[in-house]
Parts: sequence; structure tokens; C-alpha cells
Amino acid sequence: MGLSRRSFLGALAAVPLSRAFGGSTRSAPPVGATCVLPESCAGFARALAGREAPHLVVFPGTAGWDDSIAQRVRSGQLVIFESAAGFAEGGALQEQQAGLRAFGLAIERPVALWTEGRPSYLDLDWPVRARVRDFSHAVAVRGGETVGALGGRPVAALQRAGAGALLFLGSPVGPALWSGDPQAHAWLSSVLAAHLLGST
Amino acid sequence: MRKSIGDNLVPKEWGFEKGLALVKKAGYDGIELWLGATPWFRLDTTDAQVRELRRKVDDAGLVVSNVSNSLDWDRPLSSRDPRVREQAVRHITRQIESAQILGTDAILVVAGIVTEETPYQEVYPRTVEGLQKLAETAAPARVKIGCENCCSEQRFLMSPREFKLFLDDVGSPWVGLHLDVGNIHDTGFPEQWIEIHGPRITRVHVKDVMRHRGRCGNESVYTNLFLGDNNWKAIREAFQKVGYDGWLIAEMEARYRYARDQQFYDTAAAMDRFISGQL
Repeated sequence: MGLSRRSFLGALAAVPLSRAFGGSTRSAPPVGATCVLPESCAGFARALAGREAPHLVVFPGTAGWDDSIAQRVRSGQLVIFESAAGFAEGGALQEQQAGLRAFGLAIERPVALWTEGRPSYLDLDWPVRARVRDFSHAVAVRGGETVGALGGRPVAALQRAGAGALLFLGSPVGPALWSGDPQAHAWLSSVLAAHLLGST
Repeated sequence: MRKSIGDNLVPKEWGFEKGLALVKKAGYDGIELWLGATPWFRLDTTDAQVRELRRKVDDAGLVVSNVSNSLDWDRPLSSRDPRVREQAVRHITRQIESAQILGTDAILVVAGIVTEETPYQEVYPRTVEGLQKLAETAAPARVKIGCENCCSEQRFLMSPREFKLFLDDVGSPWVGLHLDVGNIHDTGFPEQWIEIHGPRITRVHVKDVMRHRGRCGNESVYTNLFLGDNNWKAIREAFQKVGYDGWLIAEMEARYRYARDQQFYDTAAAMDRFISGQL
């Protein structure tokens, strides 16, 4: 097959990603970040299909950073940024570190959770409590309001900026949406409800 | 039914030709080639080299019964990491391509592996999706993908009913069951698997199993035909009932400490007794 790994993953990611951001009520797809977890793209796409979320943008299973994020947040959008730095080359982490610095968030190198022994679940506590399986790699985050932890590590943070907010996920939730985890779906529904009520 | 045996049982230092000569002399009709398990058949083996393998098989008076791989355990189709899944797609695709060159119409894969890290609820849909994509490659090549039931090692698809639902979900006539009658252990009975899967069985691995011996250290549950707890009469009758008349492929553990070639003869003799019904 004359297809590079990057273009192969890009091809896999393209369809679900565009679906996740498609529809008349959502913003245009971002162009500067790559989804390297196709299941995460598919999970968010499936969970958001047919839902009203006019000012929500999701970057599922993402390597790298998109320069439009700062503007999106300040203009009132809720951006869910799910880092997949643990599944990407080293440069992806540096791009995310630089982008998140502007939001006062600092992230650490991804940790391979299962090399440390049996990890805990990802415990999300905003806007509702939800327990979701780990996804092998996690990125710890400091700053903002910690809204999720995994084995004592803060891996999810909410940071308000301008008229909007950035929700950083250092432990992917999209694959759990894809595989049908009910708590992951309930959590995302609550995020959407909170967003529509303007409480983000 | 025809007899075959895996080339992974041939001592590596013997080489392919000496192995083929032994397989022929012991009375087998064919040989199963294992991608990744022998020095002569690896991922970097070129098409021309695969054609040369086929020539050697032809010259030995044998045919290739099927193409298996030893790579799925380290690079499973069910991995969480898309990069690993891509490697799995690559080696299974290579199996399909090689099968065409080698003149056979079946490959073996270990399709999904459940671990503590990679849970069942992910492995199931991921493996279904992976096989649906691979079926698109298998169909035009007219090569069937046989998913082996490595029940206890995979911790996946433990019952014949569960396996049937899984194949229904994949939904392709190009994806079926490569049944290993020795892999069911004390979770069931191979004759029932045969009845439930019938025409979906692509190939059959044979070995015997000591059901009540759990794995402990180096102690194996597997043994030579007729030394274990399989009900070989019932297995044979089930094959007759569903009309399976295809390949029986010996998948033995190389446990002969002396006269290693004797295992090929002993196994062939037992398979002859099974096929002829002298049980």
C-alpha cells in the first residue's frame, strides 16, 4: 500500500471528524489539528449527532494544536480539547504545551498508565460525576479548575477565558463514547446542557 | 478430509526443504505456512520469494492448506493504539496476498485479544470493524479469513453462541471460524461448536487437551491426539453431520525431546485413524 501512516490515519480520521463538527448549528471543522484516535472522532460524532450545540467545538483524540482555539474560546465557544499526545510523536506535545500556556494551563509528558501497574478509572466531577475507563495514556494538567483525575493525577481542567471556556481532557473520553459507556454519554450530555444554560 | 501440519513445528535448523520432505514422508497432504514464525516466511519475504516457497511445496508433492500468522499476539487488530492496528492490517493483508500466491483460499487470524488494559467492551466493536474492513480485501482475493477460537488465551468469544453472534455482526461470507478443537478446554465441547458453525468453518486445527489440568508453570494442557479428553468420536460425527470435508491441520506443541521427527509420524497416524473412523 503506497499510503503513509500519517495519511492513513488522516484518511480514517477525516470522515468522523467532519461529522463531529458538521451540521448547521456548529462551527466549521478546525484545520490545524489532527485526530489520531479515529475511535474518539467516531465516538464524539456519534454522541453529538442530531444534538443542538451551537457554540460547541470538539477536538477529539488530537495531536498538535489549532491556532483558532484561542479566538473560538474568547468569542464565546466551549472548546473540548482531548489530547492524544500519548499516541503521537513528540512534537505534538510541545505544540499543545505552547497552545495551552496561553490559557494558563500546563501539561506534562504523557504517562503510559499500565507500565505503572493497574490504573484507576478517570473520575470526572463536572458538570456531573462520571467514571470512565482509562485509555492507556494520560496527560496531567495544572491550572484552571480541575474537573477530572486519574489515580490522583489531575487530567481534566476547565478554564474560562473571554466569553467562552476550554475543557481540556488529558485522558481520552471519546473511545468510551464510541464503545457505548453510559457514564461517558451521560457526562457529555451534561456538558452540553451546562453549555446551553451558559454555565460554562 | 485431508491432513496438514504447520511448518512452525519444523525445527528451524532443519530448513524448509528438509521439513517439507519430512511432512511428505510422514504422509501429510499439505502444509500450513506460518507468517512470522519461521525464517523462511516473514513480513519482508517478497512475492518472488513466496513464489519460490510455493515451488518447493509443489516439488515436494504437497499443497499449502492455509496461511497462519504468529504476529497477532503482539500486534492485535484490537489494540487501542491505531498505529498497532495499522500494523495488524498490514500483516493480515500480507497473509491474504501470500495465500493467493501460494494457491490456497484460507488464512488464520487471532482477531481480538482481551487484556486487563484493553477491555472486552472495546475489543468487540474494534475487532468487528477491523474484520469488516479486511473482508473488503479478502473478497476480491477470494480468500477466507478464519478467526481462530483461542478462547482462554484471548479471553474473548468464549462460547460458540457468542462466536456466532460475533460472525453475524461482521456479516461477511469471507470471515468465518478457524476451529481449533483443542482450544475449548473445559469451557465447552468442540462437537457443539462444529454443529453451531457448520459451513462457516474455514479450516480445523487438531490437537488434544487435558481439560482438568490448568496451566501451571511450564505444564501444558495440550497433548497428542487421543491422549487428552476430547471426544474424538463425537467430533468426527459432528463433522459428518455438517458436511465438513476440508483440511485437518495438526497444531502440536513440539514436546518430543528425542527423535523430533517422530511427532510428525505419530500425529499423521492418529489423524489417519480419525479420518477413517477407526476409533
